[in-house]
Order: sequence, then structure tokens, then C-alpha cells
Amino acid sequence: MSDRTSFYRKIVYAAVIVVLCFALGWLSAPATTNSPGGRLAQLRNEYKLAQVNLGEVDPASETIKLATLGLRGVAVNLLWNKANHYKKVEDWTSLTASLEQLAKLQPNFITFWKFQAWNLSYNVSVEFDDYKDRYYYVRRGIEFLTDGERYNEDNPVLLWDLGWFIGQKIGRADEHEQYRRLFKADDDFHPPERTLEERDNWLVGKQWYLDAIESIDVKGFSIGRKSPRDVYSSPAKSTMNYAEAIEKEGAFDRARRAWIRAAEEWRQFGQTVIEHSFGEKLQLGTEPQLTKEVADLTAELEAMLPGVRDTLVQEKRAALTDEERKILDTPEEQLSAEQLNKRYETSGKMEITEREIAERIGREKPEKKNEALQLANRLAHRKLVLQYTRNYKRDANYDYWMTRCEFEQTDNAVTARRLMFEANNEFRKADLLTAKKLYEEGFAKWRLVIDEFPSILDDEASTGEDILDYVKQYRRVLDQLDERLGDDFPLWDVVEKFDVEQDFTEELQEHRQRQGQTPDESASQDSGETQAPSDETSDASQESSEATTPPDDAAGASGESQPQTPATEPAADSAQE
Amino acid sequence: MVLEEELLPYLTWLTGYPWTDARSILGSALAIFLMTAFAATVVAIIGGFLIALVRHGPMKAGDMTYRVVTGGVAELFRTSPRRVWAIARLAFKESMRRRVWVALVVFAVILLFAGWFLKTNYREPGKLFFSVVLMATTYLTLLIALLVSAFSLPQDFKSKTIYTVVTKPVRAGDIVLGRILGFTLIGTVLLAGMAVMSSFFVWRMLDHTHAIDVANLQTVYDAEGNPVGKTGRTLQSQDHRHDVEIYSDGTGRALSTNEHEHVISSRKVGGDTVYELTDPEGMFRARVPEYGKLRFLDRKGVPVAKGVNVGNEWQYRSFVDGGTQAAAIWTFSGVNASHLRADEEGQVLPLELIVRVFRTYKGNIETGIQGSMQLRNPETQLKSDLWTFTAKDASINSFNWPRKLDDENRNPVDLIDDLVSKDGRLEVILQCIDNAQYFGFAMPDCFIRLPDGSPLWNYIKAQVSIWVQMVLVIAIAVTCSTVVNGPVAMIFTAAYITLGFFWQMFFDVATGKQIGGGPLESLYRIVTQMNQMSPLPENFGTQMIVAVDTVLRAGMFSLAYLLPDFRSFSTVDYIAYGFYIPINRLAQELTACLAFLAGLFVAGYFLLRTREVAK
Repeated sequence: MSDRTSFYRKIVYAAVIVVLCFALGWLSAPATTNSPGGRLAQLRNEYKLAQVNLGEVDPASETIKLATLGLRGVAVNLLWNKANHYKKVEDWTSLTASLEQLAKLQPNFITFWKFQAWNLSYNVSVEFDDYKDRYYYVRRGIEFLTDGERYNEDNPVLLWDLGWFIGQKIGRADEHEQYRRLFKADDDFHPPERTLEERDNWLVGKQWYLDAIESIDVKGFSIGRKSPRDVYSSPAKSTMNYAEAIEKEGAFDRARRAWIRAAEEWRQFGQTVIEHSFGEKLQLGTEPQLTKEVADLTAELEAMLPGVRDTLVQEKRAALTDEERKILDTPEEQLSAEQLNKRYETSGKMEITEREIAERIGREKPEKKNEALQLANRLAHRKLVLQYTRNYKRDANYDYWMTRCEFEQTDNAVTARRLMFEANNEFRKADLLTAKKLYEEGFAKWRLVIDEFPSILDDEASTGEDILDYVKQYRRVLDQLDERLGDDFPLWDVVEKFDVEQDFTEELQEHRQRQGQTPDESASQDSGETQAPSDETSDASQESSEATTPPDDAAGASGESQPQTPATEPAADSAQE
Repeated sequence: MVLEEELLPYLTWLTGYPWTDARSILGSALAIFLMTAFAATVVAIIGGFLIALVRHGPMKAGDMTYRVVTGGVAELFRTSPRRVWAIARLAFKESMRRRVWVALVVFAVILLFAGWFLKTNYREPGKLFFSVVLMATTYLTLLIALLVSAFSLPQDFKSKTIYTVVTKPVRAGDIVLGRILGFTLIGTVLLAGMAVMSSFFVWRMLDHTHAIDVANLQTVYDAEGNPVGKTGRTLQSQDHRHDVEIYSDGTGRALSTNEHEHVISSRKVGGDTVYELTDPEGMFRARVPEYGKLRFLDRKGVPVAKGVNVGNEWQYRSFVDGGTQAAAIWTFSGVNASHLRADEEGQVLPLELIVRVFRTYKGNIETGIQGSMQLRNPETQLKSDLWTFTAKDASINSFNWPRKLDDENRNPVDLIDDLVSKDGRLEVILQCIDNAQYFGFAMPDCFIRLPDGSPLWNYIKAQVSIWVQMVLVIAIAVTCSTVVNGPVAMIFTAAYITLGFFWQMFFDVATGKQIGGGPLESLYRIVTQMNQMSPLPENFGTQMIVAVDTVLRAGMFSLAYLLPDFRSFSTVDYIAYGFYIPINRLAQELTACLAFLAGLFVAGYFLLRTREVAK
């Protein structure tokens, strides 16, 4: 009896095992080339949870993870500590080796790749005195990030950072001339099919930016906290930076073609739909249409009850106290600080919203109430979109760069740049007379450019400072010829506006006196009109600090909702751009 | 190479010679050993007496203590080398039966897969590879030593084979010493095997040659337009290339990259020239440095203890201001003609210098910072002419000072006869020339380069350092295993080793140098996530914590003298950086090892005697 029971029990066990095997097979059969695999394999594939979905599967990485026997966290902590120690004691080889071991332990930790690549490219590189050593570690940081990209294919954050490192670190460092030269000559970095002309850091960086955008748009990856405005503007900015860089190196024809291409790409960027942090879809290039649309809607709303705005204004004014009315009617410069605050509050009370207009229309003409409210809502929304668009445009310096792309491709601008370049060369060769002549011809061309595109001297523009640098060079030539800037110098307005460091104070005063202006007028002009932001200041702060931490996605690069940090290179560059 | 602590001469280290004050004598290794041994003996005798007192009363306790001490000491001196050797052979055979040679297989497997984790694309590949294999050898050797020696005696007790042993005329001391010796022998064999395998691994991994990029060779012409050679590059191999210089006779050099060079030769094949490069040269080195004493002058030329701190957290180097009177001055002793080396231009004094450059402004990026070196006789103050140089940052800058040179007034002088004082001293003065730029130095950054030692002999010395650590682990584990069972002995020894590897931190906690307080305070800070620098809140609990920590620290302080500082036994850095391991250092290690061995042997003997079987 007991034997039989035991036998039956074994049969039952076997049957249960077989049934469970089927269930297990249905659940967890691995995917093959011919079959999608079990339910788990399908889910893994659907939600991209497998290691292979993340990127390259590295046997060394898997081995070391297994070899830590579940103590990966401990091993990672020890290695991070060691890496910090090696950095402190300037043992760069051991630091680099530790980072590579760490990468094998945590290959899918994106922040690790960003942080440590930044460490190598920005913090370790500056520890060396020889620019070739510096370049070596800049490149190591870039290669480290490339390794990270291999482990995390199509990750837009890493792809975008690669574009940033290659573009900005090589192209904006104090050693950018040397770095760009070494980058071009770096046979071991570039793939063999890349031509010498394509071996430009801005162009190579741009390709990574485009890959990042493709991974977002086509492959559906998230960009995390990074601002879409920065991500989508990067390729066009790279083209502009490329054009600017080769222009400084004397390749004017290629630079003109690059500016034309940059203009086209900037326009495309203006048409790209980018999402505001509050969810609105924006197109920066549509600001004129939006402005017109808002004006039309406002007119349409107010046309429902002609004079409604004036009526509301009068009513609101009547509701104010005598003191408030008096403050409103007094010019600002005659008000005390307290009164100014009061005036600000009162101005708020005087604002007329679409809603108030619509409600008044509804009261006066009840049959049009619904229509007016709908129109008011639409108007409020379009106004909001317009405001966001203007903010983004301002942050991206959209109009300046558009103008820049347009004027840089004109004959006058190209000739002006060429003449400046040649004049600088002649000055270096100590041919002062030729240099002087070329500068003067060049400044005449700049005058034409400024007259055609006056907005390039807007406060936010950096072109004025470029021109001022040329003027400084020109003055050095004049100094050596024992001459001074004359009244016929065509760019006094540029000097007046951009001489932030007050290098030309004396010349300006003399010039103004000759022009019949009083010293007081001059002083007031000096103090009031030299507010242009300085690229040099940005660069100086950037290089003096040589940031110690990588850019934060939100604050470092986007500038969307937080102030720029001058201590970090991207922030400084962003401010410049 | 970084040497954060100065290596003292052997006699000074051991005895404090030349005994300038009482502190130097009390701080010497021998004095510390004697004091520690005395303290440990007193504690052991008092402890033993107290236990006997509780168990047998005062009279018998006194009698027992007296007999144990006198009998034990007498018996220790009757330890027989023959019996010790017999026990050692037994331990050796037992280890072989336990298949300890598997460690060699494990090591081979580690090396087989090490290639996955080690790349050759570093600037100092030799440093990295040697560090890794020596560290792997150290850890594996210590682990095997621990496992073999901690379980042996307890296993004998468990299997009762110890009874067979003690039926022979074997004393407890023979058993302890025999075990230590036997396990040391087996460990030595394993270590030798690992050393051979690891050296073969490093050589295989780093051995390479290059082909010349013939298509891009450029001919170099002299002033008259005659070709005098070619320059160009090699093709890439092991993630690097070399610039090459080829002379008109077809020979040449692949210039230094990643710390090595290659010699180029050529032969004609048909009408073409085929270039061949040798294996890497200079990757395995044993530089023999002779160090001097370093002192500093500030910007006004006033002697100061240290130079300027430029903001580095690591204060190993201090800096001298450029364009001022600030200087770093090394004084070398015992300099004579034997330090000179024959050169193409006669006899030279080879000096090598590592400079760290700190710029306060970028200046000309393409050119380095200028510095000057000058030799001076400390007695006569006669100075050589200035040798100005462009500093190669963080690299070794070589200066071959000719024996016949000019003084600062351009009068010819002899380096040995005129610039070295009668008692053999020579000063080397280093200054930074460029204004507002800085040079940073530490004592080992400037040295007279003596002829290189043998890299093989140097490698063997590094293995001796590992061997010393292994002997210590075996001695500790055998001593522990005389009283406790295997797993406990292993855990105790592992803890002992771990503390030994973190000896400096342990000592700093004991002496209050470590920020964050003692053990309890640290635990409190961890649990409450409190910053190490924040003061503790004032309350009864924290007062208790501090009070208990005071007691614990005193215990730690005492224990620190019984712990070997394992890190101080490591000579990995010497091999990694290509520097000769001084015999003096090895002698210090061996002496320290002997001291620990003696202490542990005595402790092991008395502990084993407490076991019923060994009486």
C-alpha cells in the first residue's frame, strides 16, 4: 500500500513538473531569431528592459559584476573613493584605470559617464602645463563618453554631451587654437573616411547633436531635464561656430558657405516645434505671425463693443484713491522709492484683461457674451504662447543669430573680415603702413555692414566687441606710427558703445570735444551706454574657473528657468551665445 | 616617484642614531619594540595571575605564574632546530595534501582574464600592469597563507592527530615555530610561481613593436641642402605611436611615448628600404636615485619651512614664486667622483628633476615656464653658472652637469673639486624665472641618478616585500589557531590584517587626528547623517559617547603598537614607477618582520601551553 502511494505521489510530482515546465516555457522561453520567446522575453523586448536594449553587452562588464558576488555597491563605493584619492595625489593613470573599472561595474548609470568624462576633459586636463598633455586628457574624456554611448546606445543625453565636449571644450578653451589643430591632426581619433575638412571639432560635434535629435525624434528617447531649446538649436549653433572659427583662420569662402548653411538651419530651428517646460508647443520663428494674431484677436474682441477699453480704463481710474492717481500722473524720476512701489501696484490695478473686456461685453450685450468669452480665452492663450515664444527667442538670442547669419554672408562683411585678417597679418609682419591701410579699408566696409544691419550693434550682440578688438589692433598700429584715431574714423559709435573696459576714454573725450560736446554729456554717455555684455568677460570667468563639476541639465545648459552659473564652461558659453 | 615619508638610514631607524636627543632614541624601532614587548609581557603575566587567582587562590596562583614564566622561558631556549624542521616538513606535506597549489591555477586564471580589464592605452602602462599584478599577488598570497595556517592546528586538535605529535618529544615552541616555517615554505613556493607567471604576463602584454609610416616620412636637410635624415611617425600599435628620427645611415630612434622608446634599424630589400624596430626599451627600469635634503627660501630669500601652498588639497609639494628670490634648495651629502658618469662630452653629474608647474595666468600657451638650476658649494658659497631650462611639467627633466664648467663669473671650475664641500656636500638651487608663475617641489623630486639597477633583481625585492607580509599573516594565524578553532582564527587574523592595512587611519583615530571622532562618535554621525566637521550637540548622550570613545581610543592606541602596518611593507610603487628598492628599506622590513615573528612565537608558545594536550 505504502509502495503504491509513494509511486502515485511520484507520478503526481512528475505531472506537476511537466505542467510547470510548460508554464515556465510559456513565461520565460528566451527569444531566438525565429521566435519572440516567452511572455517575459516579449515584455522585456517591448519595454526595452534587456541589457541588449540598452547598448553593447560587454562580457568583461558582466563578469566583473558577477564576480563582486552581490557586493557591487560596495565595490563601486571603494572605487569611487580610490578615484578621488588618485585625483588628489595626481596619479592620473590610476585614476583613468579606476574610472574604466567603475564603468564596467555601472555601465548604465548615465550620470557617472557624464561626471567622470567631465572630470577628465575639464578637471584633469588643466592639471598639465603642456597643451599637448591637456589635449590628451580632453580626448580621453571624449573617448570615455564615447564608451558610455556604446554601453547606452541612442541615449540622447550622452550623445548631446559628446557634441558639447567636442564642440565647446575643444573650440572654446583658451587653448582652442592648439586644440583645434591637434584635433584635425589626430589620425587615431577620426575614422579613416573623415576628410581633413570634416575634421573640425564643430562639425564633428554637430554630428553628435544630430544623432541626439534623431534619438529623440525618431527613436522616441527622452531628453530628461535638458531644455529642448538648447538641444534643437545646437546643430545650427555648431555650424555658426564652425563658420566663425574658420573665418578667424582665414577660410573666408568656406566660412561664407557655412554662414549660408547656418542661416538655413537657424530658420529650420525657428520652425521646429519645441515644448515649453509648461507644456506649450512653440515655434520660435512664428513670433511675427503670433504678434499679428494677438493684435487681430484683440481688435476683434474690442470691436464687439467699441470704446470698451477706454471705458474700463476710466472706471478703474475713478476707483483709485487721489494719492494713487497723483502718483500715476507724476513722472517716475520725481517719485521716491516708496512711491515707485506704490506706482507699480497701481499700474497693476489699471491693467485691463481680456476677461474683463469679455465680461463687460457680456454685460452690455448679453447675446455676445459666449462669443466674447471664447474669444477672450483664445486671446489669453495666444498671448501666453507669444510671451513664451518671446522668452525662448530672447534666451536663444534668436534674432541676433539670424541677423548674424544674414550679414556674415554679404560681400561687405566677408570683405571686411578678410581685410581685418590681412591687416592683422601685416601687423604681425611689422608692415605698419599696409596694415593701417587695410584696417581703414576694412572699417569702411564695417560701416556699410552696420548701416545695412544696425541691429548687430544691439546691446546683446557680440559683433560690436569683435569690431572693437580690431579697433584696438588698429590703435596699436597707429601708436607705432605715432598717430591717433581721427574724427574721420567711421566707427566711433562702436567704440562709444562697446568700450566697456574704457581703453578709449581719452580718445573719446577728445573726439567729443572736437565734435562740440561738453565733458558732462560725454560722461553721461559713458555711464549710460556701455552696457553690452562681454564675451571676453565670459571667457575669462570660464577659463579661470575651469569648472569642477559637469553642467547640470537644467541649469548648466538650458538657462530655461534657472540663472546661468558663470563658474561652469557651458554656462559661460551659453551666456555668450 | 612619490615618497610621502622619508626613508631613514637603517641604524637611525633601528636605534635613533646619532642619538641627538632622548626623543630620537625613544622613537626608534628597537625602543618601541622593547617597550611594547615589555608592556605585553607584564599584561600577560598579570592577566595569567588574575585568572589563576580566581581559580586557585593567591598562593597557588603566584606559584603557578612563577613556574610558567621560568619554565616557559627556559623551554623556549631549548627549542630544537631539528624538531622544528620535522614539524615544518609535516606542515608542508599537509599543505600539499590540501592542494594549495590550486592557488597557482587561480592566479593563472586571473591573469588569463586580466587582459579584459587592463588596456595598454595609458601613458604609463608599465606602472599600471605592475601595480595590478603585484597587488593581485599580494592579496592572493595573503589569502592562501591565511586559509592554510588558520585551519591547520585546529584541524589537528579536531582529528586528534596532535596527540600523535605530542607523544613524540616535541615542545610547544617547536610546534608553533615548525608550523610557521612549514607554511612559510609552501607560501614561498607559491609566491615564486606567481612571480614568474606575473612577470611573463606583463612582458607578454607590453611587448610590441611598430611599423614605420613610410609614406609620410619627410627628409631633413642641413643648411647646405644635403639630406641628413628623415622624420616621421610609426604606425599605431598598442594604442600609441612614436615620432621617429632616422639618420642618414638608416639607423634611428622611435622617440619616447608611453615611457619607452624603440631603436630603428634598416635593411635594403630589392630597391626598397625596410625599417625594423626593436622591442620597447626603458619600460622596465630600476632607477637608482640618491636623494638630498630639501629646504625653501621665500620670495625675499628668507629660509622657510615650506614654500607656497597654491591651493592643492594634497600638500605633498610646496611651490616657489617665479621672478623672485624664492628657491628650493637640495643639499646632497657624500658627493664624490663616483657619482659622475662618462658622457660624450666627458664626465657629468646626472641630476634628474620632477617639476610641477602652476600658472597664475596663462601666458604663452605654446611655450613652457622657464626655470633655472644652479650648483653651490655650501662651504665656500661658490656657485656654478645658471642652467636655464623650460620645465616639462610632471615629467622627469634630466640635467647632465659637466665636471668642467664655469662659475657664475664665467671662471672655469671643477664640479667635484670646487663645488662640492670638503665633507662631500653639494647644493642644488632651483628657481622659477617667469614672474607670477610657480614651480612645485617635494624632497624626492630632485635626485642624483646613479647607474640603473637590475630590473629583475628589483622585481625579486618586491616579491620579498610580499613575502614579509605573508610571513606575518602566517605567524598571526598560527598563533591564533593555538587557542581558538579554525574559523575564529581566520576571522581574527582577517580582522588583524584589515586593521593592518588601515593602520594609519586606525592610529589617527586613536590619537584624535582623524576628523569625525572616535568609533562611537563616528557611528553616531553615520546614523544621524551628521557632517564630520559639525560639533556634536551638547547633551548627556553625546557626553557619554565622548567619554566611552576616550577609553576606546586608549585601547586602540595600545593595540596600534601590536599591529603591523601592512601598507608600509608594500614596495609596489617602486616597481610601478621604475625605481630601485633600497636595500635599507628591505632590511627594515625584514627586521620588523623578525620582531613581530619573535613576539608572536612567544605568544603562540604560551597560548599553546594553555591547551591541555600540549602541556
